[in-house]
Amino acid sequence: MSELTWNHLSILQKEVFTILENSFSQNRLSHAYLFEGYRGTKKKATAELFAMRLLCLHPKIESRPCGMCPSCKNASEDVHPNLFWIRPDGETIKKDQMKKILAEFSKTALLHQPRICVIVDAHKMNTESANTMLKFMEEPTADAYFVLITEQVDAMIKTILSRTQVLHFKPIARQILTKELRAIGVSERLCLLIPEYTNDFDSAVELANHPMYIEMVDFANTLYIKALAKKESLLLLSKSKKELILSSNETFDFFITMLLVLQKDVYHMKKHLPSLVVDTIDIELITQLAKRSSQSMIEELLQQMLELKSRLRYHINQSLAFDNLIMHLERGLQYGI
Amino acid sequence: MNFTIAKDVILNHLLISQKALSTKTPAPYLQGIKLEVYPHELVLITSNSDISIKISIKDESLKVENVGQILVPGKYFVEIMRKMNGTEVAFSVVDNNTLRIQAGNSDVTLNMINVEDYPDIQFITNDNPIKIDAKVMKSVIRQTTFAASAIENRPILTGVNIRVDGGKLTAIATDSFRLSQKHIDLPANFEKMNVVIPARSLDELSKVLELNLDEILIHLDHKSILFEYGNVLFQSRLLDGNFPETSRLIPVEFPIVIKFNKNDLFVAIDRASLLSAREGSASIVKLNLRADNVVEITSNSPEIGKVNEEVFPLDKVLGSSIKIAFSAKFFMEALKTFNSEQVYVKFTGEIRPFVIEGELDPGLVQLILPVRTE
Repeated sequence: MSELTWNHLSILQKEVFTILENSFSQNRLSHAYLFEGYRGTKKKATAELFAMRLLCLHPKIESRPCGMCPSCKNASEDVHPNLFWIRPDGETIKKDQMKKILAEFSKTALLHQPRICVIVDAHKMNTESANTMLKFMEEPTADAYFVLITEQVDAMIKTILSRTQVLHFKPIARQILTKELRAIGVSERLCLLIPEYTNDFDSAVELANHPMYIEMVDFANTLYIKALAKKESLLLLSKSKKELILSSNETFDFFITMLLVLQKDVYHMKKHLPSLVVDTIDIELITQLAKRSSQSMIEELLQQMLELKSRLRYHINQSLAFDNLIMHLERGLQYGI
Repeated sequence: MNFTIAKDVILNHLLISQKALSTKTPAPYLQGIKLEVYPHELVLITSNSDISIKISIKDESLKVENVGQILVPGKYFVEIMRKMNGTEVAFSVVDNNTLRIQAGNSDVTLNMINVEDYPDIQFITNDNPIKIDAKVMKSVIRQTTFAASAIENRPILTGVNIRVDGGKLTAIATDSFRLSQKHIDLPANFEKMNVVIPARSLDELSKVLELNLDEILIHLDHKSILFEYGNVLFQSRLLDGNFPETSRLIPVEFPIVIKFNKNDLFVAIDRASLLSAREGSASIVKLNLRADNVVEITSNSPEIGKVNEEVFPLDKVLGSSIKIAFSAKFFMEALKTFNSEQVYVKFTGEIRPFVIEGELDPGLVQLILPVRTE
């Protein structure tokens, strides 16, 4: 089981796993690692495997955990007394949480095996907890390992950074994600579009199976088809879906991303770069729209969408913003004004 | 799994194993009691990760039909056993994840925890354990653990340093403001040992040492220490690191030695500390040895009032007069550890640490650092 995941992850994060495997085989592990990279780059899964490998009672020669022994099982179910996960308590990682872990590490282990502490969202440590942590990193105890996980490496304080071995997790390539989605039988359009929204395999699968998101992808496509046909008002057409799209910040963000992908496709087509087009299913639709619209119009629409996407973070009137966006789309695509 | 046992037997043992049951730990599996049933033996294992207790019960009332291992929620299990009537209890596992308990008129089913989640705790014994009189061990614990630090800024100070060298055992605890040290002689020469045991673990151990057994065996491993007390194995984790070298802290020569009646001194300090604006260890009293050989204990807080106690030394005082201030709490706690009626308080100077020793307490030294007041 875990050997499968190890194999799988070592393909997705080749560099990271090469470093880790070499450290194991040469017995030169660092006492603190920083796993750094975007969301969905399998940092947590890697940390779990790393812990399992350290705790495994019968590790394989190729330095992989066996996944079968009680120690491996307990580690993967998070019931191993030598494995500690720290997650932000609310907005920050509090000093008390760090103190508890350091009190634990000041004693000998309950089971005579290595101890691992994984800190999730390590950039959320406040100054006090970071300082408490530093104190420990300056005099590490034997057989104790820290794995810090962060999406914002720039927010980490330098003194901690300099005491860890930083491993960069690259975003998982879109093609790989598309291939994986195809393999589990997701429809072709979703396979192409969803990787534009998320790099995370798990959330991609979740989106692909959610009727609400499927509906939104289809609707974005419909909007472009109707815009080409010039027969209906897009504003009236969108009335029925408005509630669905505005049901949460995420759904609205997802919908705008889908429109952005389509609009970028039109833009690339206009620039005669068909290889960059993402939604290759309806290539005819994209070509015709590109032919009809002026380049400045396409660019202006793109800018509108990007701006709205970034403004989503603030408390804007989403209903107005939505209508505004559709109106711009209608004017731009249907009438080229 | 299927067995019956006398209720009192299992309950009495559960009350001991309960000491290592954690209520606060986030790990649900450590809130359980592990029962291992063998053909002629029932083993109870509990752990709160700091201490772990393993009890082996080989009682004639134990009748095992089927062997096995289960993990039951500790708090409920103990409470159920406590309240049960009837003299015999029957346990049986039904549906793999519930335990049926039958005794007297009651029939209880209790949901169990997955026994595979329980860590495989090793209780490591060795061939040459140190043997100590259980009562002596208990008094060593009582005389030292209170002086260990309660705050975890320097984790190593939250423990008691136990050293064995030749035929001597030394226990030392300090929070860097006071120090408590006890030497005892061992019946034979044992292997050298130098470990730091968390003070809290020792306090729990002292509660376990209630059975009327003479001897306790100490097995040391480099990562844990195990106390064997009859059929009870009590294991504690150790504190990692080096305990500060304390031998040079205790002065050797004392120009001023005052002999007191312990109780007289205790009540005088207790009363003097009453009128302190500050609580706990922060309440400061002053000791003043007057030229006429009478000792004054005073405390003064301008906003509340003033206390002046006179204590008469038992013998002629050696040395000149002295004025010294210290924490009343530290002094009283140190006094409590003595069995002697008469104690010596020995000073080297007004800003130098002083020592309390007792006539009937060989090997026990209590050291306190004074406080600067002016």
